Amino acid sequence: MADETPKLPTKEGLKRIQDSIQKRREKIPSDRLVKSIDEITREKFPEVLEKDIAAKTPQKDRNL
Amino acid sequence: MGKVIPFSQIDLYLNSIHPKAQGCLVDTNFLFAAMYKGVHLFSEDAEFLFEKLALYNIPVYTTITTRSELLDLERRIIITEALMGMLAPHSKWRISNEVAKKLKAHKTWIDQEANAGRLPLLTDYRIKQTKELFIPVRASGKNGWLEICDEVLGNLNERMAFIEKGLGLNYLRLRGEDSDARFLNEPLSWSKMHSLLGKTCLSSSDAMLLNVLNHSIFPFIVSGDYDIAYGVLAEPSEKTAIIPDQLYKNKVKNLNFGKSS
Repeated sequence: MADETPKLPTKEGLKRIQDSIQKRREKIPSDRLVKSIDEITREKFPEVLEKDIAAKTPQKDRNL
Repeated sequence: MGKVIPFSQIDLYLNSIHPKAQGCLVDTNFLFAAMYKGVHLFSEDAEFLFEKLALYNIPVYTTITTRSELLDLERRIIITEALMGMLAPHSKWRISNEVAKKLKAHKTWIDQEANAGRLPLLTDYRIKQTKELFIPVRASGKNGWLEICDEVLGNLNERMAFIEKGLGLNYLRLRGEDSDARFLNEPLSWSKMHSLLGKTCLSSSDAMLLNVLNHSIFPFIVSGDYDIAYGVLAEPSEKTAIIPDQLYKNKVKNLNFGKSS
């Protein structure tokens, strides 16, 4: 019989994955791949990625 | 009729649905974006939405198709990182001039992809091209393809278990005695999936996910995919797709699925 208690998403769980990816990437001699797309994203869509969400979301919710 | 809302309205939406959602579906695009900060165009948005699901204690469900897609993306990004790292002056890997020439061409293409706002990942075709240029096992001081794969992809089983645990992912078992039939309002069928696929020209994996959404108790799906949003809007069922604000504003907001006049 399957366990009927579902797993839940957690902020900490996601952070652990993101940290492990960052750690893996630090071992790569060149990290240009990461920097280039990050810079491009911010250049192309700054209003959506930052301002829109910040404006529409209460500050307390942004500081989860 | 289905509806689509942007990530920024998630609080309003979650507080408006009764009873509280027993779970939601997610697609590969959303999960990948949440995991890979700075790589995916929607990564910050996806992280924000993921944290909302955590805050509201909403279990995240998906299908084995998504599991397969996530595995493929992880394979492609790890091998892309490894191959591009070989171009660095201090790389430990020893490669032939022919391989280096091909990798530089790949790097140029990846930069173009990134500039166009697409994922900077080698395609399977490009990975195969590279594999053909490598020798299978180490020879003449040059590293072989098998040892490269073993080092960078050898722990993929543990890696995926770590990812699935970190994301709190629940996979729906839709067949057999041990299935999660309690989540379905009616049995799934291939014919329904075929109809969805044909209705808006969805990919088979998107059609499978939408088919599950339509026949499940889950009120919404979180997606980073225009096709999923389009498919939800085109359906008569009262399901919701929650998508990044940018995608909503630029491509979905003005779609009109009302009756033609």
